[in-house]
Amino acid sequence: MNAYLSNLNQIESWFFSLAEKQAFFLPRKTQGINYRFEFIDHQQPLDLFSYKPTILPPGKNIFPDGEILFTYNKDNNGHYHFHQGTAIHSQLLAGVRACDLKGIYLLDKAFSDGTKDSHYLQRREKTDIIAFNCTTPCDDHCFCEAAQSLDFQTGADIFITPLFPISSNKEVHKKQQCLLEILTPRGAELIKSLVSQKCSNPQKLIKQALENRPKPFGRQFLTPVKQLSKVIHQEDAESIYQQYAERCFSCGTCNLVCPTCYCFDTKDELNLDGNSGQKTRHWDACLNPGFAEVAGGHNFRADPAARQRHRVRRKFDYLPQRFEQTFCTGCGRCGRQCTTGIDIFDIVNDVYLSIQESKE
Amino acid sequence: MKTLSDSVIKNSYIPIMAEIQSIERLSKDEMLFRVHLPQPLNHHPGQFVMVGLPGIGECAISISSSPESGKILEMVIRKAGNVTGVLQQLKKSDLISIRGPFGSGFDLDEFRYKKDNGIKDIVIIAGGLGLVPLRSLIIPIMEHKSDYGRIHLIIGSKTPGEALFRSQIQTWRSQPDCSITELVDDPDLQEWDGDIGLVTEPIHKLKIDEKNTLVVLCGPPVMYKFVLMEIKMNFNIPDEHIFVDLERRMRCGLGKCGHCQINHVYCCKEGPVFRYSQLTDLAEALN
Repeated sequence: MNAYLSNLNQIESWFFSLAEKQAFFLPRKTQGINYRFEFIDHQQPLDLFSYKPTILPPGKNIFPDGEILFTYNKDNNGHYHFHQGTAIHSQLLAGVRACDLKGIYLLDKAFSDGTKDSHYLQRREKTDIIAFNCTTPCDDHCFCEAAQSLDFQTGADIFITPLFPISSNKEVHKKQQCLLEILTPRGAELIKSLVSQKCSNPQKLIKQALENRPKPFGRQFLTPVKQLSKVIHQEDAESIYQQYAERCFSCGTCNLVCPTCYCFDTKDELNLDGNSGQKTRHWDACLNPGFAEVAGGHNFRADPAARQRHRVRRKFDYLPQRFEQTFCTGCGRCGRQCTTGIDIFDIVNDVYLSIQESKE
Repeated sequence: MKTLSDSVIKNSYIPIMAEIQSIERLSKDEMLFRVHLPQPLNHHPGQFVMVGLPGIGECAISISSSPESGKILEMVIRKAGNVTGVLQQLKKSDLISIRGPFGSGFDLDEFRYKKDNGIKDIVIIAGGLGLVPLRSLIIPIMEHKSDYGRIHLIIGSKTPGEALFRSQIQTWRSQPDCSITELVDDPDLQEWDGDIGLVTEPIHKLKIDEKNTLVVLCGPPVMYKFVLMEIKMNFNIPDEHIFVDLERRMRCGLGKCGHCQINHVYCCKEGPVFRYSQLTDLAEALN
């Protein structure tokens, strides 16, 4: 593995040069306090390390809402002709954090399992990722270490570790150095346009940079995540899900902001000419009341508590059974965005606690 | 992560178009569609297809025809929403979109009677529209009846007006070793020559070799619990020998969209036909 050293000034101008060649997304503070993955321009200085998780995770750039699955037209003889959906262009996601890298890695798993999802996988193939290491928890909601996604690198083409202390109230000097690890041939291609020098002792520098990480890093579960999954799988904990469901509006925000939620609905659209149209897919949310409703009106998860349980179990039990990975990355988005502050971190801890108490 | 789609992956959402050969009204809300496919689907009994019209929509519909039906595909479409409402307005020679077949089905070989350790009795219990997918299993059994053991069909409907495929059921009656009970919950002041009652009622009267019996169920969600209870109360049939054919909302048919998920299982992929032994641990399966 090759590694390079470069300073923030150089990295910024490198980003601007990359952004001229292809769609380039970076977390940026928008009006207010929220961050989004957006295009960059010279009007606004880049703010690379005072990061709060973006409202939507970067994985959504690979699985966009409203994507066209196919278009069709009907000719004069009434024959149908089908065409592939939206043309897929290359994109570069920079500033992706380890938790979101893991989110993308889990989406890769899900969409390549069984029948491969051509739309996701083709877009994924054309997506380059420059990831950033976290030296400090992003905010009070973060629990990436507990969810085993801190230090996750798989899927990144380049992984950048800042070699300087980060504090939210102090501006970072542009001469500060970063270490860039090249993880793929594509990463080696990208780094060519960066002014940098080769680093011969990356492991030592990374170790030093991460030495000052707070311990523990972010919130911690009451028990290791493997054990937690086991408890959630084995025990019903109906009363806990019920308790959280009582203040749930079933709005589905937690699903929409989750880096590992990929459920969708499809929609057929007819153009005004009546002879052409398209099929599109749209993010859907298992917390919405009608998600599991069938023709005739029977709803397999009519009760909000059943939907809450489904979400928690999908992350900690159902999908892990299939892919041997917890599908919660600890990014904290669901708790951060929920109108009534329902946080999956609290739910799973409470499930664990209630089981412990019932044993005593 | 650059190797996932080395070759061009097929776009699984693009359907094939099939021509409608005939549409027959079976009851107030249900119509039997017989369509001609450009090539056979080679489906198994119990599988389903996504049926629709481009620009209008798609829904999951059970295949009702025999696996030996080649380029002909039969399915029953009940008017339940916008898409099925439009489909019911189509006419002979119109085109209809088909994707599939999807899901697990029944393995006919398991149902065949074999000398050693063979299945001697097959009990098939259908409630309402549940007969539609099971018809794809019953037809091949009836057409090669000598390969199979005794058949016991229990077919229930709400009212005589909703009873499906009655004349075809009549032809099955002439098969050797075949008992058929047709019931309605409510005769609804109409002419009815079958029994009156719920599908649970004839179960205790079945004369079967418990150890060598396969049971197949399909019907509305409310039916399963009571039928299974009745079977368990009267017979000692292993859970692996009981098959249930479940209904869920389905969008993609590929185990991705999440709508049909029953705990960790995708109904569209691992189902819709399950052995009861697969479901005993799945809290949401039969509710």
